[in-house]
Formats: sequence, structure tokens, C-alpha cells
Amino acid sequence: MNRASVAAEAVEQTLLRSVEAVQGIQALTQTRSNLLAEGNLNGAEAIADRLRAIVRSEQFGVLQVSTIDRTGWMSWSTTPFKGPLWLGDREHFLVHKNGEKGLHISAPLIGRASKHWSVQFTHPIVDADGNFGGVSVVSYDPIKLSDTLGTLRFGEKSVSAVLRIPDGQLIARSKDAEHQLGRPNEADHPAIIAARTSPSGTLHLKSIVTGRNMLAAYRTIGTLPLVVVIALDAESELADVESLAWSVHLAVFSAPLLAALLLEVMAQRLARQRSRAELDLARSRHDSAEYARGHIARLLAGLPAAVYSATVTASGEVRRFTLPDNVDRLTGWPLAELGDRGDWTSNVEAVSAERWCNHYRSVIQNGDAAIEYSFRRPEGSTMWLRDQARVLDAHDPDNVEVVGYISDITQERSLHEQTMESAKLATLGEMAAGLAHELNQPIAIMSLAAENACRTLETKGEAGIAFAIQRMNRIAEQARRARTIVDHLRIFGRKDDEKLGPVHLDSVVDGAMTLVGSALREAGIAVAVDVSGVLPAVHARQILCEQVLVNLLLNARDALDANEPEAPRVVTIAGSVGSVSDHIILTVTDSGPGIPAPVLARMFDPFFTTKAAGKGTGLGLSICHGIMRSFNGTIGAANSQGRGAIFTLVFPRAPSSPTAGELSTPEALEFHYT
Amino acid sequence: MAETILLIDDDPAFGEELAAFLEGHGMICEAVAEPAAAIPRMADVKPDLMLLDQRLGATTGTEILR
Repeated sequence: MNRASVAAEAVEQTLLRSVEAVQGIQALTQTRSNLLAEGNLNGAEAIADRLRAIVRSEQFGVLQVSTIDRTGWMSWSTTPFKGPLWLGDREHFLVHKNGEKGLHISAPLIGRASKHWSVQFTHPIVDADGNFGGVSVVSYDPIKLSDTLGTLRFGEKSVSAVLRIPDGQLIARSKDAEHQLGRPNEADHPAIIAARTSPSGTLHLKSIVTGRNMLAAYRTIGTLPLVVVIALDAESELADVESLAWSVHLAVFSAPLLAALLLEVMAQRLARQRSRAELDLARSRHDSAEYARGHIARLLAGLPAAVYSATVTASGEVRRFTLPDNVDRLTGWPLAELGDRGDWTSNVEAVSAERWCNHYRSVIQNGDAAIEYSFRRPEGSTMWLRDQARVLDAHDPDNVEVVGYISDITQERSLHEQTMESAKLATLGEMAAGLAHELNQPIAIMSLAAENACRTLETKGEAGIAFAIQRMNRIAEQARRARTIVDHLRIFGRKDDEKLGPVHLDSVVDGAMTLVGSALREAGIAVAVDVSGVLPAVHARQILCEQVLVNLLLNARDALDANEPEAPRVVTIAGSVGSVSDHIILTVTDSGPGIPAPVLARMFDPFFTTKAAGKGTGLGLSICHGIMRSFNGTIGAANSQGRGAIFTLVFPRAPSSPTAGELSTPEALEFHYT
Repeated sequence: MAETILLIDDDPAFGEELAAFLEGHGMICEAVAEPAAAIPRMADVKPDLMLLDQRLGATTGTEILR
């Protein structure tokens, strides 16, 4: 591990954030297409508005969002375009038409009209039958990305670049991007070759531009077909801090400054406690840590994050709280205005002193913990922060040393909220067909009963009254049945901003079955429910629980579509108390073909999609994951031992239950998905 | 002699109303809500016509027809 590796890791995090935003935008275009196909023009226009707003605000370096229909004509764009525009011969259309189901990143091109560089991030749109229905195109500004790389530079002669796997096409470069973007691709670039065998590592390179010897680190970007390469001039790298290496391994979250801070704190402790000789050693380490810190602080100063150090008592009270100089970039408050802990907490909304203590107690107990809260900026607006803290040294229980990493997650949350709402709309659309049948049944019965009552009264007169009354009662009963369905639909479609409270899982199952029971019956699937009404209540929200279960049931139905005709078509929903009695468990098991191992590993990643997900938005499971996380619960998937998949939802028990008093979710951790 | 109809639908309310409707039109009609009971009843009732719902929980109308 060297400085280049540290830098590569920081760049990876920055890029991942951008690309996840891009994929979120693509999910919105898919939802828009679904809504259009269903004739929901208002819904489609609402999403179009959001996309236009994203482009206008120049968030994430997005220049334009557009869609191409299945025949290759541009069908929609955030930027008005003239007349029919045929793109059927473009690489980014053809690659998806020919079967690419995932994200494709095109080579940078200079726009014919705009004269600006752009990179197309494309993803196929699927139609209601799961077939190719066109392409979603997000045009991304590689110069802006290159500028970001430029600000993350790690020394005079360093250079960083993002290359496409597997052909080595340059996507962004920290220096001279305007000219370099047009250069031919390098499939034999050492980083491309090395990335085939290991996702990250170090290399010796000769710059193809200057011919200088460079030390480089490369790192593939998550699961994307991209690799970031950071090359440092060999001489400057020799001045690197050897001891930085081990400390970086200790840092679980990708905050290089954290590592430097760790080293610094350790050096200070040594200085206090050890002998003279060790003190000298510690000082030299401290100097080198300072040197590294200077570089890393510059690197991080541009990121929306701040690293603090603190000491905490065993009861979770914060004794010392030291924020970094760049906190003003994160919060807008100059460091001087955040001089002590009280200045910080007074700007935090809805986190009581007791909750802060609980948070830091859990940091001490678990080694690390995170809390999210909204924070007032000087001009009165609020932002969302994620505050992750980690124990550095717990030798002295009344002076536990802690470092924390505070990052701005406002955009992440707003995008998440938008996709949650869109996904709910899309799920509603998916349920619509089944619901039509579900509503038709009571209507048919009411119509028959009314006709029977009339006929009896007409032909038998008074003798038919008793029979007619039975028919009237039946009409009332069937009207209630229809109303239950409509009520559920209305609740499901409503924005949900209620607080967490006790929820009974048997009523969740009833609610979800009201919505999708007919869709499952229609697919010839038998549903076995083993959820007892005496199961303790869970701490959650009814509607969101139903949304999770509806998603899992519709997924199970799609999975069973892959079964041979004679194989059993069964879905089992079972509830139980966990081995830890604070946990209530709900499992959904299907008799489908199970989940392939590569999918199993990634299925809850935000925006991960598979072919099978083509029927919906491909967002279902990540939304379920988000919802379960908002309850402080979990969702997991595995293949069951017989056949099929088993999804496990773990809920915290409701606080009113006798053993779960301390389990209530801190208010600041509640995610207000609307 | 009136025609006899055996009606199989897993929604009992629907089966009863349809049976009442058909009887109102001068037919003899028996509604069965449990698909498993359909075949044994067939032997007893000897219907002239069977009305089978296609979707019957775990089985289908086509299945019973076979």
C-alpha cells in the first residue's frame, strides 16, 4: 500500500457516487417507460420533470438524459431536439440491441452540435414482456470528471486516469483531458492487464505522454467496467511514509485522513507514555505522519466530508471533540463557530442527549457505528449528514479515543427518496392487472345477486323476500370485499411519512395478499401462510412492510415462471421468533429454480439488475433493503436445501414488548422515505 | 327433465349466486367450491354440462377436465 493506492481508493469512492447517481437516473427512465406503456401520462411527466431538474442543476456532471426507442429513433430527451433523430447505428444503441443487459460506457465523443466532450452511460430499457424496449442514455461530462481528478492530484508530477475495461479506452484524465480523450484505446495498458487478475494493486509504469518512470496504483470501480489508475512520479513516491501502510488497513471506511489521524494519535500516545528512545522514534513517525496528512488533507478537502477525533466516556458522553479545518466546506460553518461539542449538537436536529450517549455507547460496544441526522447550515437550510465513528483505543474506559467520518448524504437521500417513490408507482402498475381480476370478482357476484333478488321478488312475491334479503346481504358483503381492496391500494399509493410503531406481521401478510393474491393465483401458485397472530409485534411501518412483502411475492412468482410445468409451484410465508428473542423473523420461500451464486452475491446492491428483473424496474430488492434498514432490520437471501430461494426478513421486536426496551430506533436513524 | 349443471368455482359466493341464477332460468345446478370434490360429485350428479373455473388455487379447470 502506498500513497497512490490511498488516492486510488479515494477516487474510487468519488466515482462510485457519480456512477450510482447515473444508474439511479437510468432507473427513473425505465420507470417512466413503464408508466408510458400503462398510459399513465401524468406519472411519466412527473419523472420527466425530475430528470430535467437534475440536468438543469448540473448535479453529478450529467449533461443530458434521453431515451432511444427499440427501432433506434430518439424518443425523448431532457434537452429539446429537432425532428426525428436516428441513432440506430450508434455503438451505445447496438450493444444493447445485441443483448448487453447491464451498464455500457461509451468512448468519449465530441458532440456534433454541442462541440463538448461527452461519455454515454447507457442501459437497456425493457418492455412489459421483458424484451428489449430501447436504451436509456445519460450523457456525462468527462471534462468535469477529469477536473475532479485534477483536484485530487497527489503531487506535482502525478497523473490519474479512468480507463474502460477491457479495451483501455480513456474516459477521464486529471491533466490535459481535452486533448488526451481522443487518443486511441490501449487494450494492453498494464492496469487493464493487471485488473484481469486482481481488482486492485500497484504497478511500475512509463508514462506514454512524458516517458517518465512512474509508480502507479490501480483499482477497479466496484463492479463497473472501469479502472482508475493513479501514477506518481517515482522520486516523489520514495518520500512516502512507510508506516502509513498498516494504518490504512485498520481503517474500515475509505477515509485516508482517518488513517493519518490514527497514526498521529498513536504517536501522541507514545509520546506521552514511552521512554526517551521511543519518544524520538515516535516524533519521527509523527513528522512523517504530518507530511502524509498534509497531502491527504488536501485530497479530502475537496470531498464533502470531514474527519473528527473525540474522546468518549464509558457512558457515551463526549469529553473532547476536535473537528478539522475543512469542516466549513462540509457544513458552511467556520471552524471557529464550532469550537466545542455543544456548538455541533445545537445544529443537529432531533437527536437528544440521550440518543447521542446511546450512539457512542454502541460505538464502544461494537467497535464502530453510524448515525444519520439533519444539520442546520448557517443560512438556515438543512443538510443530511452520515456520522460514522470508530474506536481507536479503548484501554482507558473513561477516555475512549474515537475517530469519526462525517459525510454529506443530502443528494444521496434525495435521489433515494425519488427512486423509492418511482419504484412504488411501478409496483402499483405491475399489480394493476391482477387487481382488475380481484375487483371484477365481487362486481360479478353483486350483479348476479341483484339479478337473482329481482327475479325472485318478481316471480314469487312475498314468498321470495327471505331469499332476496340473503342476496342483499351478499351484495353488502361483496361491496365490503371490493372496498378492502381499494382501501389497500390507496394506502399503498399514499406517501408514507408516519413514524415507526408496532406492526403485526399477520396483518402485513393479509395486506400484501389482498394486493397480489390474485396475481399469484392467476399464475397457478399455491401460497402457504404460517404466521401466527400471537407473534410479538415488530417495530416498523405497516405499509412499508407490505411493500417489501409484495416485492418478494412478485419476485417469487417470476422465479416460478422458470419452473418446468410439472414442478411444484408453492410459496411459503412463515413467521417466527429469532434465536435472539429481540428479533422477529419472516421468511418467504419459493419452489423455483433458486438464485445463481453470482446474483446472490450482489442482488441487494443498489441498482443491480438481472434479466429476470426486466419485468419490473430492477429496483425492488434494493428498495426492500433500504426499507428493512430503515427499521434497523435486515433482509437476506439464500438457496434453500431442497429447491428454490428463501428470503429472510429480520425485524426488531416492537419496544412495547417486555425485552426490547432499548431496541427502539433512534429518531435520527429513521429514514423518511416518501 | 331439466338439464343438470355441475359448477366448480373456488369462490363459494360466486358459485352460489351463479347456481341461483341458473336455477332461476329453470336448470338444476350444483356448485362445488372444493376442486378435490369435483370428480366424486360428477359420478353422483351425472351432469349434462360442467362449468369449470380455470384458476382453482393449486389446480386448474383444464386439469380436472383431463
